Amino acid sequence: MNFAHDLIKPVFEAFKNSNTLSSLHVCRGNWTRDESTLLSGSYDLLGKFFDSIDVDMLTLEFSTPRAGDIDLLFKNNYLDEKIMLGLGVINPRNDAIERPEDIVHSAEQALEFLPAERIWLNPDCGFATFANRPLNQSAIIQKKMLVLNQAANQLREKHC
Amino acid sequence: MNINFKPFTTSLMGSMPRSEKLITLHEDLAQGNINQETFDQQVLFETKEVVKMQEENGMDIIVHGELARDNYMSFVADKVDGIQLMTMEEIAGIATDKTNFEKSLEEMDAADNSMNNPVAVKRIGTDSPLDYHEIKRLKTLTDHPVKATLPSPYLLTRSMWMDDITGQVYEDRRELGKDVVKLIVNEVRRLISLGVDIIQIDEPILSDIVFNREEGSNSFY
Repeated sequence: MNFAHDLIKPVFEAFKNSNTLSSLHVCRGNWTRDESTLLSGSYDLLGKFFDSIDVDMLTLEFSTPRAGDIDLLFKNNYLDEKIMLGLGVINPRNDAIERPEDIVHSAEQALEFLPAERIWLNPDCGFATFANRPLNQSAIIQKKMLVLNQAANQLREKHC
Repeated sequence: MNINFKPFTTSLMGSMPRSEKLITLHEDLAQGNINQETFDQQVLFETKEVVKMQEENGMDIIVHGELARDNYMSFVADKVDGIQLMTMEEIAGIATDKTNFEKSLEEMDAADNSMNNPVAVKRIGTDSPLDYHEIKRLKTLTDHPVKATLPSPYLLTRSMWMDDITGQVYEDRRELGKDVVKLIVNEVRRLISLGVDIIQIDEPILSDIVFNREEGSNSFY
């Protein structure tokens, strides 16, 4: 973990005094639709590490139970005072179209820790991290984007 | 930091499916059967579609879809001197415990040899553009804010190290890591000077450290 810290910290120091937003994305694997082979674990194990890096935003998976509950991300650290969260609310690895109300619900759990302006919405990961192993097709991806947009609009109406 | 974003801003994470045609052209390019320009033209054509799709479906921040990349991190082999793309098959050939390595790939649904790895085979270049040209072009294709995606130096250092090969040119992982940090920091500075709105550093390997089921086994592809 120290080695990871030594390599990652200087990258985020390079953003100082810039107008560019820095984001760190962590996921548990995105090479297969077989969820059982991908890693599981909640973010309490990474909270202190995140806290030690000068990053503006964490972009994290939350669309599957493998990522654990959102409150664990904020356990025993000061992330809630500073961090922006790119909340993963779309699973890129299946054809099921998420329901806007579920995305709203997930964002409202994040709202218990962060103000609205520090919450962004996104899929858990890319739709084709590996060129030869696309995880989804354009027709499904478009539907997933649409519900992401619908949920964002509902949240803005309700909370902003 | 630019704070002029609205609450619940939406964006994709970076990669989008490539067409069969583009995947074939990428293979042709690697084998020297077509020139870079032919490949770039198809990338541009499909990037425009990816941009339009995001705009039409309400994404606030736009990504280019990483269409020219073999994968989210292996593409550095196309960009940086001293890094070579290797297939899982090639790596298995070098791995000390070949049987276990292959068994592990099968268990993880990763045995079809479709995922390539970048390996440091020489001292690596530290000042090569990685996403700069793609982001520069993306900014001409949309008025929306744009996001660049780069692999984390930790991910790259771990992936690029192979004892038998990298160990010949670098003393250890730490020494390689220093060059990888320079490479990524230089690119971050370059992208900032271009006025990119967001840079996302992709770091899945942290999960491997904290969530891995078996100590020491490599579960990450």
